[in-house]
Order: sequence, then structure tokens, then C-alpha cells
Amino acid sequence: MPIDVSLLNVGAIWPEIIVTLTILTLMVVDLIGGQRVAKQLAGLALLGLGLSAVVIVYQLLLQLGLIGGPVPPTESFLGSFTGDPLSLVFRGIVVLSSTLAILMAERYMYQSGAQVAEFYTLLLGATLGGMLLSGSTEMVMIFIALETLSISSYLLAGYTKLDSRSNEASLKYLLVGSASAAVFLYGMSLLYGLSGGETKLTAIAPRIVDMGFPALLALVLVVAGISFKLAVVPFHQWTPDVYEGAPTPVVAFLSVGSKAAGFALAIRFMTEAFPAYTLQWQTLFAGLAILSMVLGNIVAIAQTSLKRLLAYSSIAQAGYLLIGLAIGTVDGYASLMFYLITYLFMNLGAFAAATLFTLKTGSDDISAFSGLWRKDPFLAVCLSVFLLSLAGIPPFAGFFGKIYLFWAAFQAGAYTLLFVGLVTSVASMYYYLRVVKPMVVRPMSPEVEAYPATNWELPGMRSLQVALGVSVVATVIVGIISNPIVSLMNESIARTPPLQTAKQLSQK
Amino acid sequence: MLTVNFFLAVGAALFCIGIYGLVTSRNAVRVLMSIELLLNAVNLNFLAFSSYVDPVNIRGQLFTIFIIAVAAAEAAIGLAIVLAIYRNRNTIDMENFNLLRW
Repeated sequence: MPIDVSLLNVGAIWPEIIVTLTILTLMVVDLIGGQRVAKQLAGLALLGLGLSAVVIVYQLLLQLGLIGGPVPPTESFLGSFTGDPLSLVFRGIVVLSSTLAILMAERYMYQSGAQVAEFYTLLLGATLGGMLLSGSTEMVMIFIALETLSISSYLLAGYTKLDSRSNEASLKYLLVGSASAAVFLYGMSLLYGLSGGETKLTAIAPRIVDMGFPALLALVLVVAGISFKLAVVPFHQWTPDVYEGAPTPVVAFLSVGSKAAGFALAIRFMTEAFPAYTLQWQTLFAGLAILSMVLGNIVAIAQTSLKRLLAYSSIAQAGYLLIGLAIGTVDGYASLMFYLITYLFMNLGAFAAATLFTLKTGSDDISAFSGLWRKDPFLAVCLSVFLLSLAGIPPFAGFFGKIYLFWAAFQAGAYTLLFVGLVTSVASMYYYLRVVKPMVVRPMSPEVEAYPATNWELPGMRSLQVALGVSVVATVIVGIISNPIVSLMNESIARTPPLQTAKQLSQK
Repeated sequence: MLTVNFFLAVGAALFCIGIYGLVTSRNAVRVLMSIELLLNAVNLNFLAFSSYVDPVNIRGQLFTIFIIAVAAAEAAIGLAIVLAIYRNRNTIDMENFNLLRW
């Protein structure tokens, strides 16, 4: 079968092409330059991600009709990939989280003495996988993108290979990850058979409409596979271990970039392949959301390490995000995407603050943070802003994100989800404040007593400062300018074909 | 006459054996082998469906090639991590990996 190259519509993956070229350039530059260029590699990686982000924004504006007439999204690679606004938003989130992770990794790499070139290569590889996953519409493509993301993540989690905690985190992540990928694949193999040999999600949907139990079995297996990436209860066991053992900048990327890609996959897979089972998958995700919100928030209370606390907090946040998916309205998806953007800044910011503190004191115990206000007011204020925002206290971004989510749930009549969300977010304030309060009122801990003055001139510190600054400014501002962002998200969803058809099917 | 159900049953049995091995094995290498079993069960499913319901386009066979390639990459990385652990701790017994609580 001859293929016309222009039909492939390669232009849709320009952002990915740029990231791929950056990876290749990084490896070649490292090969030629060796140690002499090690300090410039972060700049190179950031440049590539920046260019990619520019292209993403350009394509998004083009498709929304904000520059020139609106261009309808077209499928690329004969239906394997789509560059619709939904995928563009999620690819933007993945790129942004990777950028911030690189900014905070620079100093970390310098201090831990690990090889830098491979780190950036792997991180960009994971970014590439996440970006492709956000736009995949065909099962082979989904699998390959998912594994690109996962395999890079396993390696990143074990990057500090002389640290046995990092080894252990990596092994656990790999074992649980590949087992859940196998479960996901088993579900996809059933879908392939039930649909009579289709691998495109939209082609599967009409063929499994009246299948009953076998299709439901496939649905459950697929949801289980995706839930691992989202780190929702009961597929969350790897999360605290990996978050505690892996290098902090890596965890920052995993907690946002990888999760965002998982949500893009969940939205696309459910709306395109299972529109006939909307009620069933919405019930499933509602159950997972309630479990995550309750368990994540309760277990977080008992944690003593800040990284483990953030791990359970991210499980709980995934539960809030799932509300948007479980109600399945346009407002639900829009508020999910908006909350993901606020979560991006506050969570990455919290990890940046944890990175800085760990680099200076070597500890991430919550008790070590006491009295930090007197030694380093800047870091104390930043960390407080991020944690208060995660708790959903106004006027920070997290508050507005939660308001939109809960409002969407209220309008959709999902009162149980709304109730659990409200109660657990009130309860969550307790453990976030348990970190914030001692920083200000308690006497200084031994770690803080020995706290060295911050020298921003040291190599890599400047970019950590930029990461912290950007996150803190965004956490404060995004809440205030929430209206235009939410309408942009609404517009993106309105111009994404599968979500339109999903809406019509669910109304029938 | 072999029907597609026969292959699916073998695939499902293989998958269950894989899950059993995953849960009960103490040796990290055995756990990796169990994961290979899971992936091969999926391969069998795809191949069976491919020849019974999709003999023209054979998308399932193509899918299987991708799965085999990715499984190889995963096994390589899994063994590399096991090696790194062995160098640090001198054991690959899963029961001993308790620096991090489960």
C-alpha cells in the first residue's frame, strides 16, 4: 500500500521532533566535549524544551483561532496520533514540569557528583514519552509511548546508583510498573479481539457497544493499568517508596509530568474507546477518587518525612483530579486541566523547596524544618506558600483549582464526590499546617542551627532559585487570573473532537 | 479442531501463573521472569486473535513484535538494576529490600 507522505501530517509532532533532536544533540555534545561542557548541558536541554513549548503554544493558539482562523485538528500518522487542543495542553504541562525539574536538578547533580549528560537525556526521554502519550490515539502507539515514559522513569528513579535506597526505589518501581503495564496490555489484547481486529481507539468503540461482560473485563484491566500511572489507591503502593528513595528532582517530574500524561491517557482512552460504557467507567473512577482522597489524606497525617508526606499528598491530589474525570462533563475536564496546571506549580515548587533544604542540611524530616523562618525566610515563605496552596487555602492557586473542581462536581450532581472532597481537603489542612507552623513558631532544630547561609552564586543555585521563584509567583498569580485560563481550557475542550462525541453519546 | 478459546485459555493460565510467581517469588530475578510470563501471555492472546479474527491486517502480530522488543528493553533494565543492588547489598532477596517500607 503506497502512502502519501503529506497524509501523515508530520507537522503535528514538531514539539516531539524538537525534543528528540535535543536528546541527540545532548549526547553528541557530551561525547565530544566531555567534562568541559558538563555545565552547559542543562542550558541546552532547557533551550530544547523552551523551543518545544513555543511550538506547542503556537499550535494551540492556531487551533483555538486566536491567531488566524481556527484550524481544525487533523489526525497524524494515519490515525496513530492527534495534535488536538486537549493533547497540546497536556503536552505543554509535561514540557513545563520537565523544564522545572531540570532547573532544580542542576544543583542536585552538581552536589551528588553524578553524570549529568545521561540524566538530562533520560529526563528528556521521559518527557518525550509523556508528550507522545498525551496525543496517542492507537493502542500500539499508546503502549510504546507509555513504555518510553516508564522505562526512562525507572532509570531516573535509580539514578544515584551508589545509594541503595535509590536502587530499591528503582527496582520496586520497575517491578510494579511492568506488572501493571502487562495488565494494561492484557486489557488491550481483549479489546483487540472483541473489536474484531481494531487497534484504533475510535474504531474500537462502535464494535464493543453491546458486548457486556467481556468488554467490562477489558475496561477494568485498562483502568487498572492506567491507575498505576496516576498513582491512585489501590495502585499507589509504589508511590511513597519511589518518592522517598529517588532523587528529588526526578520525583518532582514523576509527580507532575508523568501523572499529567496518565490523565491525558485516561481521558482519551475512556472517551474514545468506551463511550458506550460511560456510566461504568465513571463509577469506577469515582470509586478510585474517593479511595484516593480518603486514604491519601489519612496516611499523610502519620508521615515524618517531607518527601513521603508529599507522596501521600500527591495520591490525595490525584483523587481530587479524578473528580473531574469521573463526572465527565465539559466543565469537569476543564477544571481537571486547570487544577493540573495549579498542581504543577505548587507541587514542583514544594519539591524544589525540599531539594534546596535537603541539599543544605542533608535531611528531609519534618521536624528538621522547625525554626527555618529565622535562618532562611525566603525558603520558609516559599515552602509555606506551596503547602498552603496544596491545602487549598485562599488566595493561592490551589484554592481556585479546588473551587472549580467542586463547582463542576456540584453542577453535575455528584454530591458524594463533592462531600468526600470537601471533608478530606479540610482534614488535609492539618498535615500541611503541621509543616508550616513549626517553621515559624518553634525553636530552631539542630539542622537549622547548622544551616549555612544561602549562596546563590554557587554553580546551579541560580537555576534552583529561578525554579522556586517561578513556582511561587505562578502559585500566587494563577489563582488571580484563573478566569481566562479556565475559559482557555473550556475552549480547548470544545475544539477537541472525541470529547464532543463523548458528550453527545452520554446524553443519549 | 482448535478454536480461539483454547489459545485464550492457555494465555489466561499463563497470565495467572505469572501473577502467582510475581507475588510469591523472593528472588528478584524470578520476579523478572514472572513479568516475562505475563507479557508472553499477552503475546499469545494477540497472536490468537490476530489469526482468528484479523487474518488480513494481522495488526496483532505487529503488536506482538513491539511487545517483544519492549520486553527485552525492560528485562535489560531490570537486570541492570538488580546488578546495581547486588553490588551495594550483596543480596537479591526481595525480603531484604526493606530500607523503604512497603
